[in-house]
Amino acid sequence: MRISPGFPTRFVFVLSALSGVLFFLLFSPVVNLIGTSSLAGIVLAMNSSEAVSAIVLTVYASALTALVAVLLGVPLGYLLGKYHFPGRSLIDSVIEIPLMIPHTVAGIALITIFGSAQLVGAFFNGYGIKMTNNVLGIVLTLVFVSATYTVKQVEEAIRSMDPKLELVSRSLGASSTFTFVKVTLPHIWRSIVSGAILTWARASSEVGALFIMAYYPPVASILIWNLYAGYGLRESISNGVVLSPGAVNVAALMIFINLAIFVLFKLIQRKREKRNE
Amino acid sequence: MSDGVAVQNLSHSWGHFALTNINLSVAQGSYFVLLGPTGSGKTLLLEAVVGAYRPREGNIIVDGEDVSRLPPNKRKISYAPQNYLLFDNMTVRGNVEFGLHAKGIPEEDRKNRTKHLLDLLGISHLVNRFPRNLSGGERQRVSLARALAVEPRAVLLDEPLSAVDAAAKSSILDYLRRVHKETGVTVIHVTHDQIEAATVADRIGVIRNGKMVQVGAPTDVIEKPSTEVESIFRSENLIAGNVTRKEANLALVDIGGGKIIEAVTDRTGPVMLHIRPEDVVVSKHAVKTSARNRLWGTVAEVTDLGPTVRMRISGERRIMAIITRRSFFEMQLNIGSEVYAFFKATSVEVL
Repeated sequence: MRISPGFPTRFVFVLSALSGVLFFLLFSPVVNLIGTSSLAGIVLAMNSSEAVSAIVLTVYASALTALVAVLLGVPLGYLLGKYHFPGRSLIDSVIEIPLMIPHTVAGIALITIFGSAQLVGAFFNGYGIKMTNNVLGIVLTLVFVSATYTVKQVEEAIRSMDPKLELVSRSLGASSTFTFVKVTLPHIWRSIVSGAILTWARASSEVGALFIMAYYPPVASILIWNLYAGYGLRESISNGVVLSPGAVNVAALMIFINLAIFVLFKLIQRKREKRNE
Repeated sequence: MSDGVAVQNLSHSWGHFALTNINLSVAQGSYFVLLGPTGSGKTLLLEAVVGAYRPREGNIIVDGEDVSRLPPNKRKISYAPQNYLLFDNMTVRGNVEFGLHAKGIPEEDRKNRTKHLLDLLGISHLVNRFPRNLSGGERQRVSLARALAVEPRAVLLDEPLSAVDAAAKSSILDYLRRVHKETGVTVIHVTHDQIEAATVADRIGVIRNGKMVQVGAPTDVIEKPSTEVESIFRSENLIAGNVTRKEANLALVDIGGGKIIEAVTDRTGPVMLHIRPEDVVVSKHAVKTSARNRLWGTVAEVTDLGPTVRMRISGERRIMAIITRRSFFEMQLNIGSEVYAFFKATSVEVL
């Protein structure tokens, strides 16, 4: 460890000890979970069509959520970061509400508007579009609980950018769109990617609101809960029939897949940063 | 000459500050300097001209066209901000060609214009560099090239020398003058530095507390400042004159009233002289010294600067002098004391 000359080492020791406690809390359950599972158990999970469809659905719905968050969150983050207008603080607070309320409450709130007999849900139901217990319902729920991360990242990035940079571009004859694409986006794309990763990560971990809005088809988090509630942590096999691939095994598989996607994102991001250096 | 840029009755307020009834006319192809202390509103006025906001009242006319309601990209006024704000993700070429790309200028034309400007500003060798690898002076040139590339009706330079070191300043002022002469574009240059203003301006407008307090030729503004202007800019010695004769390497500059100042310069005709107050020597007697220039006057104002004392001497010319506290007391100077101010020909900077 490199310690700055003259820095009080006792102070650093106290900081290190407190950091160690938090690191243990964050790291040990994940390591222990992987340790508790077994290679055979993970293979069992991989051969379970139920587990594979739930994981694929989770990755797919989370990615779709991240995409929607970028498409809708970048414009909102841009407006909130760039302009001062009446009601801006109110909007800023409203978009933080999903982060503060319990997720089951979020689910209830969503069902009161998107449920098939409710205001928006009934309207779309009239056109044969159901908004609960399908992929649309899952994505709606995940956007609600996780898009804030993308909005906030973009808003901060726009705030930290010198507004005169866009003015220079405009004075050179560039339209607002040209300026946004050529000047603003290159400045905020890292924040967009970070926001999308956070949104994706948060979306793939959601369970509470999904219980109410889109219990079926089950995403991985719901399947893991079902397996745990029905069969406990471990796999359950009766007379050669796999009743459960094991909550712990599906959970470990989910961790590996999420980590792989996260590392892939980071590699792409780093490669692009190096290319721009 | 017709107006390149005219500001008519412009007013706008921000709660804590207001621009009040600004009127300004900048002749087409001229070099106008907007001079004012920090917080006077000069950058806000520049932003109104470029279109960063729409003023509550007033109009902005460019080459006879009212652009007050046009967005910045339709005004044909290039803006070069204080800290240059080059596009970090683009090379020097990308920066200079940016506006041409935005306007859909064909590649061949883009290349020709860029090459001409890079040559003119002496930065052709930097064409493939990114802004992070440029010095302050180089960034300044790229910023100017980028602004000029789109052949604007006017260029607005906001404190163009604020981020360059002292050594680079005079060379930048030289090329600003040269580039202006070559392109003939209308320039509005914002600064708080009266030396900078006197060096490059065709006309100077002085702004204070959001109001234009004086507009005129540099000689008028600096030699005959209004009371308000004098209270802002009185820490430097700027004297307008005319080089009438050359003797060896010395120029004899007629500053009016039968007074001649000797300076070292190749320049001829009307000039502006700058003498740093620290280079002025004060004596109660007309002693013989190696300093070739001498002005008589009386001490009109004294400001205690700690180890030194700044004096305003009024007489043949208004002269500011900074001397040590010890000298001040040894000479037993007071308000009204008659003194001579001496300075060497080599201390006279010809702007």
